[in-house]
Amino acid sequence: MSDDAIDLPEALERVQDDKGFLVELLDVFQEDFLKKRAVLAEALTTRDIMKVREVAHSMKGSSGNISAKRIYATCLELEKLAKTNSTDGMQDLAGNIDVQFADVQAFAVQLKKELGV
Amino acid sequence: MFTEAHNTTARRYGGTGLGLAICKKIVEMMRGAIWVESTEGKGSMFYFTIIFGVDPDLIRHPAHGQARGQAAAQDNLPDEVRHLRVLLAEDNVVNQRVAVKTLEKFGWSVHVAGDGQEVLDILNKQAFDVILMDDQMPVLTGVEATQVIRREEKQTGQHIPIIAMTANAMSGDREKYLAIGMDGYVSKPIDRQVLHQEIVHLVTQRLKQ
Repeated sequence: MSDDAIDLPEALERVQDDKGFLVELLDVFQEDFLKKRAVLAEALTTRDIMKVREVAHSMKGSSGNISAKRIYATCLELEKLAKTNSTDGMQDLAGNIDVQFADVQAFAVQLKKELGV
Repeated sequence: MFTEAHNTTARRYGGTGLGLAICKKIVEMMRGAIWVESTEGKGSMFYFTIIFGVDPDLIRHPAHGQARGQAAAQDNLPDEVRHLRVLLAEDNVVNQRVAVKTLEKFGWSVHVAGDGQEVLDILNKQAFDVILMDDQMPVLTGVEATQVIRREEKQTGQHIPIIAMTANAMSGDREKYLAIGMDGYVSKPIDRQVLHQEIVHLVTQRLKQ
């Protein structure tokens, strides 16, 4: 897989080369991420910067553990921006997260195919 | 006896021609045999046999073999840290899954608390050797839970090692968590070796006190 949505060697190292577990973890990640994304959308609408900061931090944590480097970097940027109490550029970052998340979803589908699960 | 086909070979391809002689010696020391089937100009197949003993534990418990590699790293540890009871305070489900898998692979038992209040509740019922504490959690944060634990320990004289495990990873975070009473710090995403070292180091240090 050439897609760099996930740093596969690093992710496999973290789960001790247990590919089945990684597939399961990606499922858990996607389900959880969608819930968090909904919370982020609500926080952006209500301009609740504290909530944006919290949920960006949480999204950063889980994307880091599956080595989704690009989402991790964007969530970090969003979290830092929220710490400055500025909302400028937040919607753009949220849009980037959506694109990057779609890449992770495609990556997960491809990985399942390759592993035959 | 193995010898090179031509004495010019070493000059052309490198090597001294000692490799197979050394292999033969080692295989014979292990009560085995080594031989070669070779056709000049086509290629060679090398074979060897070795007699191994069978681990009686593996006959009784075949599944133990899979865990053997991981356990080898644990074998060098003092007895006190081979079977730790870890309390994992973490509300993020992905992080929980990764941490539990990592800790269980170390041979340790893990109990998960989803927020700081749950940490306090479970500590009243069960004993643990170490706490891995996320900070940003609902109900009661990791920092708040730690402050309560340390306050209560002033009455009992006990001290459970608490390791901050957070995705903050900003400079000054380690100092911040140590200042409020935690003993160690690891950043997320989880690095297995760093996590293992920090836990073993702190628990061992605590046992010496």
